[in-house]
Amino acid sequence: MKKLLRNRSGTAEIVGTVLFLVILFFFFSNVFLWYNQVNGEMNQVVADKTNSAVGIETVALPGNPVTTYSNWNQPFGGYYDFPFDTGNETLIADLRLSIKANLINGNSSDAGVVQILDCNGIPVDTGLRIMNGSLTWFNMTLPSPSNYIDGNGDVTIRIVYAGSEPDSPYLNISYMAVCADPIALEVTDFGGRDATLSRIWIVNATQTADGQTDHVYADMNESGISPGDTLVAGGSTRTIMLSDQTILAGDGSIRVTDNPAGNLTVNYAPPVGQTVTFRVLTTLGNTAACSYNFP
Amino acid sequence: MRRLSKNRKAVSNVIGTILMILVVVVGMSMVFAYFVNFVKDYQTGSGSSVMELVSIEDVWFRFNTGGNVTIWLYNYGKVDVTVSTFYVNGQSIDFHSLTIPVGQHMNTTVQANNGNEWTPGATYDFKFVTERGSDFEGDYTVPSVS
Repeated sequence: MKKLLRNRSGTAEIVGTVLFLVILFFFFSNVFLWYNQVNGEMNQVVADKTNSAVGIETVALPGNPVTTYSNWNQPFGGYYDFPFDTGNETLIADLRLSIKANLINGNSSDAGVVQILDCNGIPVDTGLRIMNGSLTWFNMTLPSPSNYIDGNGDVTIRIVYAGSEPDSPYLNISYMAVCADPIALEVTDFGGRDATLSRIWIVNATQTADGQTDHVYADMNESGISPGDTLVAGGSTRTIMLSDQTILAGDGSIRVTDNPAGNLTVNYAPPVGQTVTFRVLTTLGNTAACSYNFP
Repeated sequence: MRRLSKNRKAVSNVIGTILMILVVVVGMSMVFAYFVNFVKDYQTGSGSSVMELVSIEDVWFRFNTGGNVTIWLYNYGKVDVTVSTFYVNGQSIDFHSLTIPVGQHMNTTVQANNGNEWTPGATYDFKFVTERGSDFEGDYTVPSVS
């Protein structure tokens, strides 16, 4: 061993080889560490994406009730028409009718048949009956509201007397209201990580032959929009309103406006009679879509 | 000093050693430069393919255009992406490369159906391949026309 240590020949080769291996190790470990770091970062991106899956659906937001009649009391014969100005002409998901009423001084065969006039003025039976007795609540939701809302946003409820003694009872309406519930988009984050909205694509399901607006998008990163208002917290929802008129931004996209309360409005009026697909895209590349047939 | 400089013994050994050191230094420098470039190329090239993430956000089949399609792509990865090749149903389509910076949306319109009009209801497989070799793919159905 001592003899081996005293032998100096070949020392330089050993030192050189060791240095060379050190240099090689330095570079390879550098590449390995870089690759490991990049993989870690991208795994985190993919994990964040997986954990922030989103869904989108059209919902009916509770509209403000138009209360036109309260403590209304009249002799009941023939029919009465009760017009309501809902104030909304388009983008109504459904109509809700609430009546608290009864017949006074009638008999058990008397009834008030509640009808709603369609756009052509033809009465449609709602199935509700106001009967003799104590005040009773009647609530119902009418789908396909466009059948009943005219171009001015008016809805007419007709109550027709049905009974054997036409002039005997009184129709007593304690409360009657109509709510027009607007259509809105609701984006839900199904995961535990916050999602940030990037775009909402609006696509006509049936493409027009020469349509230039069959595919449009609303840019959620538009200037003027608070970044916090495009955030959908994990496990929660964010509602996005639709406007009744289309406003384009400078780049041809659909303008998005942000009110002080933090509600986003996509200024897009869907074409009549079209089924429109809304597709949301998040900054992490998640997408979801839903369709709605605008009558 | 004068005596040392006049001593010619072992001059060739000194020169040889210096030359050897020079050769080794130059050689190692070349190896070092090659290795640095190799690592750099790898990190900015194929090694970065793992950082490429692209979403095909919208496909718009254009009618009366001889089979044009407008496709929007969104880069949500960590590096700029250059899309170099486009395949429709496995067939390569003439395509000008498209660079998408990080976090940006870009679109391209391509004649992708050999000059034929799109067939409503038909499904096409679109595949993009980047310069670094990543690919992004999806099946898209042509909508009906009113």
